[in-house]
Parts: sequence; structure tokens; C-alpha cells
Amino acid sequence: MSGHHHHDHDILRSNVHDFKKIEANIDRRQFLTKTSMGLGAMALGSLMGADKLLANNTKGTVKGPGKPIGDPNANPISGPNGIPGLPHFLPKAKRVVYLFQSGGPSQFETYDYKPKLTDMFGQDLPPSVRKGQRLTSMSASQSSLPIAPSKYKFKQYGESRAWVSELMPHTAKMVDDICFIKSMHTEQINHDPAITFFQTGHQLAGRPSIGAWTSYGLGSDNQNLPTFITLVSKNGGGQPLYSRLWGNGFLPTEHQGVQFRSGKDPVLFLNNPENYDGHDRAEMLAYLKQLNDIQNDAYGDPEIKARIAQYEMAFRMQTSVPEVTDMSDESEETFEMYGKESRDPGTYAANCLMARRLLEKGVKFVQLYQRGWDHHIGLPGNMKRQCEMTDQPTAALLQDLKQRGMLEDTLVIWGGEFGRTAYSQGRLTKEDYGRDHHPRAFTMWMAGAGVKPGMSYGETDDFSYNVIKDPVHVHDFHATLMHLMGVDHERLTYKHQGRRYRLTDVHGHVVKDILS
Amino acid sequence: MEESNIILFFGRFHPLLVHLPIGFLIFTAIIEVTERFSLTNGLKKVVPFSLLLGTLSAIAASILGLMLATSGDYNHEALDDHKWAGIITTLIALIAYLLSLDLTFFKTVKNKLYLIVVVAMIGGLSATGHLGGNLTHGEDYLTHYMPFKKDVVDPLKRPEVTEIAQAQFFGDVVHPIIKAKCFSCHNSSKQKGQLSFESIEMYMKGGKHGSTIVPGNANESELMLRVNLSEDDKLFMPPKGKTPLTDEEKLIIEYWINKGEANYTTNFVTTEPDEDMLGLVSNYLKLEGHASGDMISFSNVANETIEKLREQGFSIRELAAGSFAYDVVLLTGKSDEKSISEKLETLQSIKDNILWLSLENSGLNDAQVGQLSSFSNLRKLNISKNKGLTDSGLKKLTELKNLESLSIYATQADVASIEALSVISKLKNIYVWKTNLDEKEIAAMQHKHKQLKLVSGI
Repeated sequence: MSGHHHHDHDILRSNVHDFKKIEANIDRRQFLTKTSMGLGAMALGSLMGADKLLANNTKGTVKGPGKPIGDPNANPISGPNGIPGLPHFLPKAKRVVYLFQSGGPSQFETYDYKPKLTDMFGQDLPPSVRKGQRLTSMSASQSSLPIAPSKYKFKQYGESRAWVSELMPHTAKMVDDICFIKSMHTEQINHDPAITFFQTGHQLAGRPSIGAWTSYGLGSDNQNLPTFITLVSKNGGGQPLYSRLWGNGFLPTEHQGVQFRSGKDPVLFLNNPENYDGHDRAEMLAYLKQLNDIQNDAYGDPEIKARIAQYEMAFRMQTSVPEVTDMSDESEETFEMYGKESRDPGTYAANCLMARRLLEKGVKFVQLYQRGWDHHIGLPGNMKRQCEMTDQPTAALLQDLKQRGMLEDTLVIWGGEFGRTAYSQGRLTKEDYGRDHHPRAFTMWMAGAGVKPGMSYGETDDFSYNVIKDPVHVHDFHATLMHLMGVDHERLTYKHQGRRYRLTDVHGHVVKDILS
Repeated sequence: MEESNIILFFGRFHPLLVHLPIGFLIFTAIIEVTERFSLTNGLKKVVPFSLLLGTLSAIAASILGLMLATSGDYNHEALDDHKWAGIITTLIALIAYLLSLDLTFFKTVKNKLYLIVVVAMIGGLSATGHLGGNLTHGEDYLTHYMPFKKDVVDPLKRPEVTEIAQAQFFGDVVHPIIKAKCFSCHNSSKQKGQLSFESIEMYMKGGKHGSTIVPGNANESELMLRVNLSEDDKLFMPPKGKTPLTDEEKLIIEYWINKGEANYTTNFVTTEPDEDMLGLVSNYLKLEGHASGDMISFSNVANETIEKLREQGFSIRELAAGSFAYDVVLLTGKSDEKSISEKLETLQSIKDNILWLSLENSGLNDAQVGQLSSFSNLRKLNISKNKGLTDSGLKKLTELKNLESLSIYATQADVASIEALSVISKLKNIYVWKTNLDEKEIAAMQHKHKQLKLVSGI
């Protein structure tokens, strides 16, 4: 192979004298760094025990396939099956679909039933409950913080007797498959840092997202489709989303989420341009790969490898994407189950159905977003609209995965970036009120692979303001998610700027009580 | 393509080059002996040249050795010993050479010193060589076949357990784990950190920082703290190069300390272990009946076998790294030159290693499904969307004793399939949506076989 390889390089090398000179320069420079300087430094370093000072002996980086010899500090290279040494243990989940409800859906009108608030209508939130919790600038200047009970009624459902509001009649039917976590809490009170924290494990931008970590660590189950796909639903409005939420951060670029557009054409430019039949594209890409390989040999920049991988993936997606996005093979009943909007590409309903199709094809991580949950004013009306848009498709996705035997190895997650306040932001009436951001307590749910079904975990106080039992931090949620995928969150690391990073930073505990 | 690494390339010549100084320096020593006893005559004048060659080649070998050390493949402590022994020996050889030159500066000390230096040089040479050999071949390489070797007796050894009820928690479960993972450094002869696991008294005594086990409190027990550290922590046990404790082993010891109160005599079952712990310990003792499945060991599979199967269109994923337990999916849409039957035939080569298998929408029919009956370790089987599957074929799956989940959705399965499959005691879920079973039949079957969950759809 390598002899042939070099031969190719010779063919591809330029005949132009100046170029040759530049090539020679690079070679000499490399030779010098790799030999003379290196020799002395290495020998001295070894003598002084510097190898121990700099050693990086985490499990992921011990000798194994894909790790360049002799550089114990190098990050392991992710192959089709992820990095060597993963999964750390037998996984429960093969795939994940994360239904992100962006904006911070209110727990009061959905899953956290707080009957005592009814009698406290309009009373000021006791300072003993607030405990000096910071407020956003939107309600900090209010003269009072009047308690706003939910306008919507709650009932218990299923064998698990879970409380669900009347806004979620479809999800209510699935409660025996769901594990509600009512004791979520986060550190962020505004959208950008809170959602960045949830998706990447850190409030500031720049870290890899959950899906990118998964792709890097575990690799792909279908070489013809991206491992990590993002679906942003249309008709949401509200707080913006940005591609760094599904970005790769410092991980190699091929691990970033590939966003399917919310429209008829989820991926643009898959068709060949006019007057080109594409018959020699594979050949063209092969030559391009050779050129890129030369660059890679010279500079070793991982981004070159990523570029090669991306070109090849795009080529395969020309066939695989039209196949998976063509919904004509879905039955009438299926569309009915997901609701009538499921026929309109790009809606939340259509995206839920799309998510199921992608998961069926072996996509490992589907990150779905629904915007529009940020109800500072007019909450009752807005919640009704949002729930109508999402309740049926969410429940349908659960049911659909279940009947196809996929729910037992698919992890389904529902939740936003924080919760909302017990008190009304702005004017409070029986019919209308608003709620401000609240990071100290909110509800999420998980269902499927490895999670106890029909369970409610954690408790909040009567105001759903503080967690009083079994708190679950965002880091704990990440640790648990990773655990279900067979990954020890403390051992999946990536060295960047002199430090090994992980999704959970230096925190996170697996919530063992919710594992089945 | 592996990256080239010039340091390691040269470093690997170290084992070759080390034989030069060994040869030259021993040759010098032999000359000194034979000259002294007049066995030879006139060879003395070769000595300085021989020592010079010996010293120079020792310097070269040391440099190559340092280069080889950058691979990080060696045990740090053993490497350190060998490294410093080599460097000291080289320095001694250099001193010997300088002394042999008859320089006036050394004249006064020479006679007294020279002999000592040569003896030290040979001693250093032997030590370095031995340490280097240990580094490459392991510490017991030299003594392994030694005659009249003393058997290392473990005073805590107990007869083999055949039933979980007999198992003494400490003696049959905990100590064997410790013995396998910690004993090589913590025994009465080695006692690293003054800690030994050779007797119950020694267990209770602990190491130089005192007690390592706090009954009832694993979180306070040094033993648990050390094995639970990150593997690159300096204090992590066992140290680098030794096999760490598995998660299961840690759970067992943690449970022994917490629930078993670190008692050295109680039986395991009297601690009233839950299902999981029972499974863990049963598995550890290799007892049938309680196996929880996650821990059975699988025979090794060659990489080439896996690669060959991948070429056949199988997606194969190792469920946990190093477990040789696989999740296999037959990717559909791949050009079907070979019939499903031939593909399953090739899959036989790893049949005992497959825990999860999906042959969804693969064209599998009644004739071929029987080929799966010998896949005895299957936990999860997905043969949905195969219209050619009927009762007569599905009945052949009753051999799959470990099956926990079966998806036969969108097949021609009928009541008879469920009746037949219900004999599989571990089977929990059967996915029967879009089969020939109607709602009434499903309800009837569900009522009759309560241990099963029949999952249908809308």
C-alpha cells in the first residue's frame, strides 16, 4: 500500500520548479524537527523523567488501533466504531432522540402538579421560598411576585398514576412508558447560556455537543448517514437556535450534527447540477482524496481528515438521504397517529416522524428542536398552542418506537433548558398570566432504553420553586445519558489546549435510581 | 497508515545494540582474569581498546534505550530501575577505561581501585541485563521453569463453591478478587506500602496509613478510594501496567464493605443481596442459574473474521470494548449477491458471541430461520418485516434459552408462535404488531402467559 501511495504522490507532485522548492522546504523542516531536535529533547526528557510529568495515561489513550505510536498525549482517532476502548460497558441504548423544547416550558401547566397554589392565588411568593434566588431583569423590578396557579386541570393516568395536565392528553396515555424527572435544576437563568449548558455541558460556547461526543466516542451504525442529525422545527418562533448547539467544539469536525432543513428539501444540492450525470464523481473524489492525503501527510491537521470524511459522506448521502426523507412509504394510519401536521415537512410532527425514520436507519443521535416555549406573557394561550403542536407527535413517536420494538434500545428525552416561576410576570388574572425563567426546579422526562418506565423521580416544594428530594443537575443528566450509551462519562475525554475535557467537566453523577 | 516515528524506529535497535557492551566488557573482564592467572600472555594491552569500545557502545545503547522508553509501553518503576542501572554501568565502564589508560593522574589510586571498578562493572552489567530482561519478558520469566520451585501457598484458599448458598462472602468472593488483582504486590514477601492481603489479620491491620477497610463504610475505605480513582491518578491502584479491577469487582467489594460489614466469616446470602448482586456474584463464581448475562465471558474472535462478515453486509459492533460480545445488524439495501441463507452460514463463525441480532426486512423465511437456533447467547432478536416467517419457522427459535426480547412485528406469526415461544423462560417482550394475531388473540395470549409482555400497536 505505502509504496503505491508514494508513487501516487510523485505523479501528483508539481513539475514547476518553485513548487518543488517549497515541497523540499517542508520536507527538510519536518526532517529537522523530527530528528535532530527531537532526538536530544526526547533523550533528555526521558532522563529527567519528563515523560511522567507530561504523561497522559487515561484509558482512552492507551495503545490501541488508531493511536499514533509514540505520542501518549495524542487524542485517540475515532474510527467507524468510535474510539478504542469504548463502550466501557454493555450499553442499554443504541440510539437517542432528544426532543428539545427550547424556551423553557412551564412545569406548572404540564407535569408538576401543584394543587396548593390554587388557594394562594395572587399572594406574594414567600421570601422563605425564594431564598434570595436571583431574578431576571424582566421581573426583578416587579413590586410583587404574585403566585399564579395553573389555569389547566390535572388528572392521574395509567397504572403509574402520573399527574398530567389537560394540555397533554396524548402524552398522558403513554405515562406508563415514561420516567418523569421533576427535580431537574440548572445554573443558568437566561436562554443562551442555559441551552448551551444543556447541549454542551458548559455555559460558554465552544464545547462539543452531546451528540458530537457520542459520535466521537461510539462511531456510526450506518456509514451512509451522519451519526448525528439535527432537526429544527419550523413554526416555532421565539428564541433563536444556533448551529454551535449541535457543534463539534474542539472535536474533529465530522462529529458535528448535520442539520436537516425544515422544508421539502432537508438537504440541499443532493441532486446533480444540470447537464452533469455524476458518473465520474467517485473518481473525482478519489483524486481529491489523494490531494488531501498529501496535505495531511505534510501537516497532519485533523481537519483535513475530517474534510475527506465529509466529502465521502456527502457522496453517500446523495442516495441515502432521498431514501430516508421520502415518506411515501408511510401508511395513512401513521400520518394520522402523528397528527395532520406530519404531512407538512419541517413541522414538529413531521420531524418526529422523520426522527423515527432516521433512528430506524441506524442514525445514533437525533437532536430535535421545538422553539416557542418562552412565555413571559400570555402563558395560558401560548402553552395551549405549543402543547397542541407537540403533544400528539411526541406521544406518537413513543408509541411508534414501542410498537416497532425500538423503544427498548432507544432513549427518548423531552425537556427544555430551565423551568418557569411560580409567580406571574406582569399582570395576573384567573385567565391570563406570564411566567419568568426559573433554573432551580423544572421537569424533564426520559423514556425507553434502560430507564425505569412509569416512574416519577424527585420532588419539588409546593411552589415548584425548590427541589426538596433527589435533585438532578444538568451534569447528572449528561452522566446518566452517557451511562445508558455504555460510556463512563469520566473516561470519555479529549485533550485540548493542554487539558483533557469531558462532557460533564469535573461533575456529574449517574442517577442510578432511574435505571431499569 | 501509521505515522512514522523516527525516535521509536531507532529506539527499537536498543535490544540489538545492548549486546555489544555486554560482549566487550565481559571480554575485558575475562582478559583480566586470564592474565592474572597467567593463562594467557600479552593480551593486557588490548584492555584499554576493549574498554573504550565497551564504553562507547554502552553510551550508544543507553541513548537508544532512552528513545525506546518514549513509547510509554513499559512499567515505569521497572523501567526506572533498568534505566539507572544502565546509566551507572556505563559510567563505571568509563571510569574503568580511564583507569586502564595508565594516566599519571590516576597512578596513585589505580591499583587499589581498578579491580573494584571492574568487578562493579560486571555486577552492574548483570543487574542491568537482568532488569532489562524482566522488563521485556516479565518478572517470572527467568524463574518460571526453575526446578524445586517453592509453591506460593495462599493460606486463605478455600475449596471450590458449587452453590451460591455455600459461598463465604470474604473467602470465596472478595479474597479471590483481591488475590487476582492486588496480591502480587501486597503479600508477605513484597508488602508494598506495608500492606499485605495474606491473612485476615493482615487485612484488618491495613497498610502504613492504617486500616484500609472501614466496615460499613466503603466511601471511607482507603481500598475503595484507591481503586475508584481515575486511572491516571498517581494513587490509583493497581498501578499502571497491572490489570485494574472491573466495575463488577468494585461493586462486589463495595457491597461486602457496606452491607457485609466487611465481615470475614459470614455467608454471602445472609447479607440478603438483591437480584443484581446475586447475579454479579454468581457470575463471578461461575455458577449457573443466577447468571445475569452481562458478565459471561466470550471466546476471542479474530479481527479478520469480523472484517469478512462486514464485507457480507453485516454491521458489527462490539457491545463493550474487549468483551467479544457483539451487536450484529444485517444492513438492508446492500446488493444481495448472496442469499440470506449463505450469509447466516458465515455468521455461524461468531454465533456464540452475538447478543443482539437484527435481520429486519432481510427476506428471512421459515426454512432459514432455523439456522438461528444455535445462536445460544442471543438476548435480543429482531426478525421483523419478514413476510415469509410463519408459525412453523418461528417455533424453531425455542432453543434460544437466553432470549429476552423478540421482535416479530410484520411477520405472519400467529397464536401457535406465541404458545411455542412462551417456553423460553427469560423471554420478556415479544413485539407482535402487524402479525396474524388479532387484538382478541393478543389479549388472550397476554392473559395466559403473564410473564410475557406482548407489545402491539395502533
